[in-house]
Amino acid sequence: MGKRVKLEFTEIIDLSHTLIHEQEGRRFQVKPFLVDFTPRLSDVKASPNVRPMTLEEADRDSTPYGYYVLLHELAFNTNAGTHIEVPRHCFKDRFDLSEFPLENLVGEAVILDLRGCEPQTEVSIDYLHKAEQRSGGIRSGDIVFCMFGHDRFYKTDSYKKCPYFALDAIHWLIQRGIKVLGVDTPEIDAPNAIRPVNHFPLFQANIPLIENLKNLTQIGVSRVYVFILPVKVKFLDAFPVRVIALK
Amino acid sequence: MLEVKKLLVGDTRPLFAPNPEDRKVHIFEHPIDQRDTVPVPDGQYFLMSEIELNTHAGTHIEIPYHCLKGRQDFIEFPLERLCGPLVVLHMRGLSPHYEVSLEDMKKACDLVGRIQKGDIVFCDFGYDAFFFESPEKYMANPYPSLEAVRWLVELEIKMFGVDAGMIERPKNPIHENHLLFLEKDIPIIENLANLDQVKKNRAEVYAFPIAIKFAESMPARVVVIEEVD
Repeated sequence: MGKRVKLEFTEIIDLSHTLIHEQEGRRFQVKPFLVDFTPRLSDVKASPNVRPMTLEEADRDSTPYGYYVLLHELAFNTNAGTHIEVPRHCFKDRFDLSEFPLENLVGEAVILDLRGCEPQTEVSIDYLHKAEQRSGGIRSGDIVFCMFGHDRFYKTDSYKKCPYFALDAIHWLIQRGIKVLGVDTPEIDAPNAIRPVNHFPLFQANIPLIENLKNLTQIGVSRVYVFILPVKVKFLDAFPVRVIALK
Repeated sequence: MLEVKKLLVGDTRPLFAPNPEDRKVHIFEHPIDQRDTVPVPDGQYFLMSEIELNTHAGTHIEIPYHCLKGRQDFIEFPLERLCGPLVVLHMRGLSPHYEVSLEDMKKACDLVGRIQKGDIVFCDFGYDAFFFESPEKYMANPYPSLEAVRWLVELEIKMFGVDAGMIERPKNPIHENHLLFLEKDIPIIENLANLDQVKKNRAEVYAFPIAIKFAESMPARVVVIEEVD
């Protein structure tokens, strides 16, 4: 008999926001439709009927669908909600979602506690360095999550007024050999930046960026094991993603 | 914390646009951001994309709300039920439209050891090779019999997956196998790939689809972790 692999964690923490139909600021639509197989009861070659419906119509009561199945079409901006951006976001010839190596999306994450940052202020190298010392250190190959506690403002007017990074602070993180950068804010660039200058060096170093993380404050320790598993969509540069921490 | 001395092996197939399965995947690249209009040096640009897709495109996970009203969507479905110990039943070389009997299923299990309560069970039919080669061949996949599905449900497996597009008898108007699994809150993964890469009798699966309110199925990255020798 095969040896049973033991899952060595006691808690799963979801670090992603829920996506809701037409409530994401950016385009996000969920369109249900029923596929009705009743015509096939009398003729196996008959095509099923397809009926679009509203979310309210599709919503719950206690009856099973029977010969029907429920499907959806989704239409959304790929930067909606908790999402990952890979190098193709800023460089046409670099990794898209289907090419980005899986090994770089799974592993140990260190949480940098930056909750002392004021809104719309710049995070300096010095500030990051102090947070690193409190966290026990960034190791080469770490996923780095910057915890501002800013997710509490999600979907409010204050959410856009987030702290941001000095360009040399981004370079400092890259030099530490991090493999992913994640933030619980919507942006890493200064509000008046005419170009996403902080994005470019990350993607040049093949470091993906996760924006709009949630619940980093629930983790309670400075190191966790993280799974970031985006759908492999050919040609795409970004996608909403479920980010999971195992403790 | 998880031990890191493990190797990532399994991984799903990329989702293409347009999707060869006739399940919609359309990508639109937008110069939405005003920063796009500012000249950018060194080949840098800033892409904003939109996508329209069917929730059953590519490798996808179906949960009870797909066939049963009033059941959990992806916000409510517990993450614990989307990861866990994996057993892969290797059943390659079956003829097209072959019905996998209870006996076939038990034999495949004997090769890898007993299935335990809470196991995730994937059937490796070797059909993912046909995914791009021929839609006709791909759609003529083997499928489990009702008895085989009932047996797996009674064993209280946690999740079921196949490297094929369907788990039903062809032209069956009633999704009997789906209903048996979904009634018991056992999610179904269709269109898996690369299951031959799982060499050990036991491994682990992690599959965390994005949390969309009202979604009854979602394309997902399904990964397998196997211990290194």
